[in-house]
Amino acid sequence: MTGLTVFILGVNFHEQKLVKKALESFYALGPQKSSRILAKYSIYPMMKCGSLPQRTVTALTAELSSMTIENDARKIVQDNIKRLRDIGTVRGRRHAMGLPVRGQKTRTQIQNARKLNRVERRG
Amino acid sequence: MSVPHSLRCLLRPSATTSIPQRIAPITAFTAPFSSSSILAKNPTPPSSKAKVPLGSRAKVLPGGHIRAGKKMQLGKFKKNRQIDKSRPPAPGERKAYRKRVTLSNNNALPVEGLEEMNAQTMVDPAKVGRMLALPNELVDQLRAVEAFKSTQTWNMFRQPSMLQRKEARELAEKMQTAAGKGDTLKLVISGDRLVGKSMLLLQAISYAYLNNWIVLHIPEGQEMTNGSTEYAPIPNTQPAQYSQQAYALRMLQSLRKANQKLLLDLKTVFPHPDLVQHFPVGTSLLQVANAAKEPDTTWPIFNAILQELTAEGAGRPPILFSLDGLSFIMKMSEYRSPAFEVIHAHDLAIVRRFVDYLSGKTKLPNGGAVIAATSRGNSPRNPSMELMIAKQEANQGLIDQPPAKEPYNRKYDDRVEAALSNMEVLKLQSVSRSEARSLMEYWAASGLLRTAVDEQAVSDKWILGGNGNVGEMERATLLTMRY
Amino acid sequence: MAAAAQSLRLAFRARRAAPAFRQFRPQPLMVLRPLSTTAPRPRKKDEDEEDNELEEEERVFENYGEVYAEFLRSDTMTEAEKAEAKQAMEMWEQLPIEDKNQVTQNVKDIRQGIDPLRKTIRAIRGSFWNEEERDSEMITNEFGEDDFEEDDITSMGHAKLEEHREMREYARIAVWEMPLLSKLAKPFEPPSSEHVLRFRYTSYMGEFHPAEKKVVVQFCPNDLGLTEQQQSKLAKLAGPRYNPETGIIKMSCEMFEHQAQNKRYLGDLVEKMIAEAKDPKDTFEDVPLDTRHHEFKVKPKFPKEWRLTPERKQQLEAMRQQALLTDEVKRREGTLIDGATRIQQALSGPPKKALEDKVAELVAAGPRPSRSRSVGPRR
Repeated sequence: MTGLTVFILGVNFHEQKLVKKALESFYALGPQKSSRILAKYSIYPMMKCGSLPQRTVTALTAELSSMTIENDARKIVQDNIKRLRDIGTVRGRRHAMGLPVRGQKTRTQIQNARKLNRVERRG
Repeated sequence: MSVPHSLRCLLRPSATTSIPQRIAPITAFTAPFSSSSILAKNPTPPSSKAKVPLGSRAKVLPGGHIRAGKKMQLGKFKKNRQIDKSRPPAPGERKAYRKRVTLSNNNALPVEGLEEMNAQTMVDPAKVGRMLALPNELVDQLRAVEAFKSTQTWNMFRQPSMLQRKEARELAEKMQTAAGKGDTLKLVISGDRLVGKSMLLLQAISYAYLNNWIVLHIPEGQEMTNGSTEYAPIPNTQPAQYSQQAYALRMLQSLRKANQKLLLDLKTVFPHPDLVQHFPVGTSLLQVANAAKEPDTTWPIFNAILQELTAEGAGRPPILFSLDGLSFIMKMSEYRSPAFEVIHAHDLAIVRRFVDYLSGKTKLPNGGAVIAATSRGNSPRNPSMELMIAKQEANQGLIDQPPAKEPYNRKYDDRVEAALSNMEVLKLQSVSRSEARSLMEYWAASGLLRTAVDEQAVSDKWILGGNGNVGEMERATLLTMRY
Repeated sequence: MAAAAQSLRLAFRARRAAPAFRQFRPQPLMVLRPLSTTAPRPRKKDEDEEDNELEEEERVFENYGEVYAEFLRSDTMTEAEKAEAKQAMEMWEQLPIEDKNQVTQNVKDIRQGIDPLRKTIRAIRGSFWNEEERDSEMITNEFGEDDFEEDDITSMGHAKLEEHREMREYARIAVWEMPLLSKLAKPFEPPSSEHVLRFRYTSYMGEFHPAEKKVVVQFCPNDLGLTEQQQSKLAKLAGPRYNPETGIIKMSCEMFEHQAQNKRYLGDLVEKMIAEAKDPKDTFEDVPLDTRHHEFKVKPKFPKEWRLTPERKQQLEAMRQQALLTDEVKRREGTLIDGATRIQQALSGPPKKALEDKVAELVAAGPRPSRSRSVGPRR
């Protein structure tokens, strides 16, 4: 019962994983877009990866590869931050310093900014 | 030997209970499972060296009892947590446990002399208010179409038996007349919560099986619409309809299992060129049904079977198409079309078929019945459905005046109103005292009620159960620790 | 002039020196206990020492001449100061006698004026928080006004009397003046069909209040002499101002500054609405009446069927008798089912025969039921 795995866009998913959750695990693919993809391929909301037919898996992979997700989407975000940095705006500087960008207080609760904000932003 | 042994669990552990002679010696035997320690049973002599498993601080007392030494506790408020190292249940195991239907209990006393349910007893006015036992073949058929529910109290009795209620006889009679005339009975069972709507539907299905009808049963309306089974648009339909192949396969399988004999006798009359496998005219329907093995290929076979069953003038038996949980198929489903629009439940092909029969848009040519039971448990509120049922109740003289349609409420649904415009309503009421008495006598005879069933006791429970609401009476009597 | 200022300075110095010296004279050293509840007291002085001090204290000067003379006599002055004093003394000597007398008189006057101020305030030894001391800041000249002189009733007594007087006054009014009002009474006339509008005003009894200008009008579309259709149109025009339960339209206005203006506006508005309702161009028949703003409350009442009438009581009694009879018959026949005995019987070995007898009422013509589909072991 180690479980078969399903390849979608080069990623292995356990057969017990919901297709919706599997799609949402990609960067820049949220609940809205994943719902639309499910509707497009007539995949029911509670479907698990294990019950996806092979041709749907292929179609999903093709669909996902045509979308700007994962590194492409990250690149867009990074470019935007880089542009801000290059112009020399406060927002760019705050990104580079790893501090909140939109005027939040910095005394406490800036864990997310510290974790995420940088010029070469990952997440 | 094991029956009196198992019956012991029905005894109350009180000192006054006299232990019968026959089972008294059983206590002398070694219990196959015991929660008391073996040490207590075979006391080791104090001189023998007991094993000390808990380190040097543990002490062996003179009685051979091991007392653990003091343990150092680091955190002051640290909980002594028991870490469960057992294997977690496998996928689907919990659900199977939840959905399990137990129909027999060996600890319950067998009730001797119960009359068996058959085609005659169901319409016999003399049998109203009696308990009828379900015959075994019928139980198998009902199990196949999932007519039993896990929330019903079958697991308390030795054999599944049902109270023949006044309404059940009326319903059976209506079905009889409809089938005799070749008409379709279009009926919705409504009523309060726990009043026995699903049980009445079960009785209708039983009647159908006992009279050799074909039964198509949808056990839970919500399974069709809550986005848990496969769906796909059917090509060349305008507006688009959606097939549910996995569910169709399930229905075919239960049909195959429950109506095997009947299907074997029925022969095809249409050629069915669109099926992958070739079935010449005159093949038995069972053979066609057996061809459905995978969801992908089921849909044409399902359609072919339905086409054959509703063939006119081919000597087909009457059909009962039944559904439990009506309000779930009278709303927008959880599915979405490829254009990301919410699909109305009536656009799902199986539901559409049921709704068309219920509204009288299409007819069952060989007679039969379309029966839907409303559900009051977790079902969504459906103003249109409630309105139409109330209107019909008013037409039948069950209530004085139907509630007026609110002109500015946006939650009404025209399709639902059209679907429910042409049906009959059976408003299930609570049981009478005489019916309640025979039910309670059955409970007492099964060893589940420890009092004498006289009018006083019946009256107590009848009042306690909201003037004879069967489910509430069960809750007050069977599902409580107090007697 | 400078000489005068100089002489004044010297004079003050002389005056100042003496009391200051007296006040801050170092106390003779005392051995104090580290902790004591009694106040430290100075050591007793010798009698002659006391006299010297008193003599010095009572010494007063009449005029400048005496001051300078004192300076010249004193040992504590320096030579420079003495020279200065001498010069000043000469100047004083040269003054005419009237001026000297004038100065002497002035000094005397000033001394008399400031004498009471210079008096030191001593706390009375036995008093509690200077209780007996007069409060100089309280402006009152009635000292001891709260003292009770035993010649009057208490203030509470006065209040009681006042109350009696008040009651008597009202009693007088009730007896003598109220009957006169009945002459002015008018009989109640219910509003006629001419008066269909009911206005409500708010008055705050002469005080200014921002809500005073508000006017509310209520009327019923039925009273306006309209047809059914016009009435329903009027109700739909009124919207949420229409109460579907009472059938009354209620509108208010506080847009304008004065009550009369608001009332005028409401009157005009009602006129306009009636005119519009009478307009047959659009009758609003396709629009359903909207009652979402109103909550229809149903008050639960005790059902009529539940009343315990004598007939109902009789019926219940009969039912109970019947029930007892049925039970008795069953008991005698032995067909009454008792769960507890059933269990006992089953536990003490299944006597098949007896069991069949007991469930006779469940037995009907038909085959014996097939065995259950039990999965467990069978006997």
